[in-house]
Amino acid sequence: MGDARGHLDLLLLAALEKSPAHGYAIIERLRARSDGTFDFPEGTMYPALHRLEREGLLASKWMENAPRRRRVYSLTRRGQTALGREAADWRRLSRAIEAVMAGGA
Amino acid sequence: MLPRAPRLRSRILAETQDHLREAARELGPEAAVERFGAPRALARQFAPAYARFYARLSAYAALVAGAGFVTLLYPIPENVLPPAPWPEGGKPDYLAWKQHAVAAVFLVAIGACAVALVSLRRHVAVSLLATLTALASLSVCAVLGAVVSFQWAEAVPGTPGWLAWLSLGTLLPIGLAATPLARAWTAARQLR
Repeated sequence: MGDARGHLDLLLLAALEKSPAHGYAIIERLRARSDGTFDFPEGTMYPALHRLEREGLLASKWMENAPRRRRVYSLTRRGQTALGREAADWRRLSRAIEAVMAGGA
Repeated sequence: MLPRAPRLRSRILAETQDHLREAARELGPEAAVERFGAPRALARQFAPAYARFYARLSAYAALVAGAGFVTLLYPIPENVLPPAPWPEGGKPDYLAWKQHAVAAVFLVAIGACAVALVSLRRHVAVSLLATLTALASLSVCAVLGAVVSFQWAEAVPGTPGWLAWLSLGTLLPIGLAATPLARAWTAARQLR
C-alpha cells in the first residue's frame, strides 16, 4: 500500500480527530473506517506518530490503565489546523483526478 | 537494534509491547508479530529521532567541554603562575601569538556550539557539522594550550609543569563529547 504510506500523516491525524487513542486503537480505527483497505505494517505507524508529536501536531501521555500503562495520542490545535489543510488539499487532488479520469472515459 | 537513548528506547519498547499484546489477543502471537513488520526496518525508521537525540547530547557535551576548558585554564593558572620576568606588554612573541590563537580558536568553538544548538530543531546535519567544528576547535585549543604551558614553564622559573598536562586533560571531555556525535552521525546516515 504505497499510496497509504504516502498519506500516512493525514490518515493518522484524521484517525485522532474525534478522540484520543493509543497506537493499536489508531490502527483499528483506520482499518475499520477504510473497510480493510489500509492495511500496512502496523509498526510503521509509531515513527510517524513520534514525528508528528515532535512537529507539534500531536500530543501524547502515558495513561495508567490496569494492568499496564499505555501511550495515548491526541490531536493538538496545530494538528487540527494541519488536518483541515491536508484534507482540503486531498479533496482538491481527488476531484482533479476524478475529473481527468472522467474526461478520458 | 535500537541505539542507547534511555527514555526514547524505553518508550518505543513499551509502545511496541503494548501493541503486540493487544494484537496477539485478537490474532494470536505469530500473526501479531507478522503484521507489526520487520524489526530492522522499523528500527531504521526511528533514525531521525535518534540522530536528533544524539546531536543534542553532543552539542551540550561540547558546550560543557568548552566551559571546562575555560574553568581549568583560566582561574587555575592565574592563581599558581609566578610573576613573569618581562614587563607589561613585553611578553615574548612566540608565547603571545599562541595565546591569541587559543583565544581566537576558542571563540570559534563557542560560536560553533551556538550554531549547533540553534540548528538542532530543523537542520540536524548542520548541527552535527557545527558540533564537529566545536570539538575540533577545542582540541586545537587543548593542544596549543599545552604547548604554551610547556614553553611558559621554560621561560618563567617556578611555573608548575603540570599546567601542560592540565591543558591536555581537557581532551578527555572533548573525547567523551565525540561519542554521541559519532552515534548521531551514524543515525543521520540512515536517513539517506
